[in-house]
Amino acid sequence: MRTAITIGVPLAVLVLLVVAALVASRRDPVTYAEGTPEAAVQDYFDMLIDHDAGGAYDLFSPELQSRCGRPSSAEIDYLTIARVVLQEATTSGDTATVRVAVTQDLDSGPFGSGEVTNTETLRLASIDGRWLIDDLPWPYFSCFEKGG
Amino acid sequence: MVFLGGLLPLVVTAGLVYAVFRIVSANQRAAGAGGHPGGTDGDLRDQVIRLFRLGLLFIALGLAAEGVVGLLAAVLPRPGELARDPEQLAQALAFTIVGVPALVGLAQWTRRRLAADPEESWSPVWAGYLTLTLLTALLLVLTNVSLTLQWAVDVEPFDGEPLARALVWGAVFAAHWVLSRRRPLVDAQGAAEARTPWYLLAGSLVGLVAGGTALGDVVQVSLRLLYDATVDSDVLAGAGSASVRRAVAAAVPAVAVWLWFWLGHTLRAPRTERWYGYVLLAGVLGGLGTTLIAGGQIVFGVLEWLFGDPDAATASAHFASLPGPVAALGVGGAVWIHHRHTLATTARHRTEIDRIYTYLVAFVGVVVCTAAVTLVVAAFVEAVVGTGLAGSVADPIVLAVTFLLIGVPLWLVFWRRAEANAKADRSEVRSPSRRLYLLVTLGLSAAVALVALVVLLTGFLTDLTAGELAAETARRIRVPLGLVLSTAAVAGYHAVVYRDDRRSTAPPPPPERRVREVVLISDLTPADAAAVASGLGGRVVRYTTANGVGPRPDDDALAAAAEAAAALTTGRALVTVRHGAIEVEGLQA
Repeated sequence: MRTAITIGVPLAVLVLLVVAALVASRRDPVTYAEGTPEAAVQDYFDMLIDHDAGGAYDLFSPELQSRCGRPSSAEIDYLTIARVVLQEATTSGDTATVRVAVTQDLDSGPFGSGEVTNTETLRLASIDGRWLIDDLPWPYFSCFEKGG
Repeated sequence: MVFLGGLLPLVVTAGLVYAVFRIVSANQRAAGAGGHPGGTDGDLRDQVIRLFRLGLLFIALGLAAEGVVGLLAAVLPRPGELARDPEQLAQALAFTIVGVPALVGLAQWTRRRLAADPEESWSPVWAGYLTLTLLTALLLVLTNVSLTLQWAVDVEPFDGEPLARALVWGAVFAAHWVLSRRRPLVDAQGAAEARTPWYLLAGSLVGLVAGGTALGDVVQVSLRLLYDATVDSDVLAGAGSASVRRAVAAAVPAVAVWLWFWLGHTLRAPRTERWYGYVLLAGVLGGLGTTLIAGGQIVFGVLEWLFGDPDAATASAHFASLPGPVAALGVGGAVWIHHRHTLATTARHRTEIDRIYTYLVAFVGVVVCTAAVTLVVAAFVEAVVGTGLAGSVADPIVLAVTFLLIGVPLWLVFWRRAEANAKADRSEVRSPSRRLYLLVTLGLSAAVALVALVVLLTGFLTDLTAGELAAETARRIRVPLGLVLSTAAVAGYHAVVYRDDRRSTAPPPPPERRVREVVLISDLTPADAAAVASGLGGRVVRYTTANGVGPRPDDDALAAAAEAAAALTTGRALVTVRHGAIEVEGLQA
């Protein structure tokens, strides 16, 4: 009886918690006004979460695209982004800086070590009234060669 | 031709294995026919051969299993695969070609030995092989089932290799589980013995660590989603339920392993020393340690926000990391409570296991309290002399208070319980658990105090001799100073308790001799009379009735007389010895 209680009660609480979390995950994310730097960064991370490297590349400015080639989606298959939290967004004329905290699920095996959060900064430029990423953003450290 | 050349090393390896097999078999047949199977040389040789054979079997099993995994993975789909490396298939084939025949041959050899020699199944080498193989297979199945479930819950694309590995090593696990269950539990003489096999404890430990970690992950990501949905409105993007599904996929096989090993088998196994060792160290201490660390993180987070110097500007950002410690607190607490309850017995009196639990937790409390006092002293020094170039004085104080809030109640509750039991029942004072607790706490704290004192003096004297004694010196030696004070206090307190315990359990002093004068009247020679008188105590006045005609009483009679004289309350005793018989009676002073 004791064993059943000390195992059954925590497992029941766990199931309730998971169900509540799954329900909460269906909530629509916060949407930022169209044409703001935050909305552009939100689009960019949505693409990364979907492992759509091409879609994310389309959010690069023409100047950045002229320097860097289009990566394949296989290049970002390893990403397991759990959440991205806006920390700060500053706009100065037609440039903007957005700082975010990116949380990734680490090794997802049975001995997985949970998650890790890093702060990343993205620089954007307003081109023809549209905010585009103007400097090589996370998770890229160097450009893919054009035509490669 | 190139293909045949590639097979040459495999043929040589297989030939070597076969040659060894033939040679050892021939030797064993010779030993069985006319050798000395029961002799020491035979035992040692058998053990060496067994070790060699089962070592080879383990390697062959690994080769064969991984070869079959490679072949299965070659026919199953892999994610994002545009082309296949032919070398992988070649390697899988090579592993299979070498591994499977070697495995079959070695398994047959082992099977024959098990049938022919009962000692084979009792041997520790066989037990070690089974445990090692079972654990290897268990870990591989656990990891690869988890990876396969990631596909099932739609967070990763299908990958045939983990599935193949889970199936093949699952079969290895099943076979070795059956063999392990069949292995008789006997002692060195071959008699049945109540014992908890190591593989059950090891499997339970794997399940506990993997299940605890994975369940903690499930709770953490679930709480994170709830936190994001209810508190933190700055979430820009998120993976939605994928994190929860990923964590659940990892947790399901891990919890299944724990339920299978612990709940299904180990919990019902004989409660031997190693069983209690596992429950106390892995279950109780592991759960308690996790709970305390997580609780400390939560308390520190709250106190830091209220009184400290937090980095985050908003409460929602500051407490965004809370789901992790809360998850660890929940899982660690559940592990602690569950294992504590498994220790509970129906005995009316306090058992040694109850004592071990009490002193184990009290010891953890002492450690945390020592750290707390150390931090208090260090924070005090820092508050007085300043924090140096950067940093806040508030956070060290908050950290010290956190340790105090965790450690002091824990130690007080369990130590007071131990002290109350010691007062009510003297057997508590004599118990090995209490003595071990006192000696370990005393020894460790004294050792740490000495080391900290050396570090403290080195830092102090370095600045003194260099003429640089300043506030910075105090700041630099604040931690060793705190350690010296805290561990010295702990060592001092426990030394007093240990001394009191020894006094209270010391044997009572011999009763004070009340007979001051003995009148001895005997028929002994003067020498014998002197010898008898020396054993009676007190001042002896001797009178001899005949000049040494009687025999001397034997030692037992003398001891009885001495005891009788000591028991008298009259102050004087009359002892008469006649014809070897001895009588004692009291004389009024």
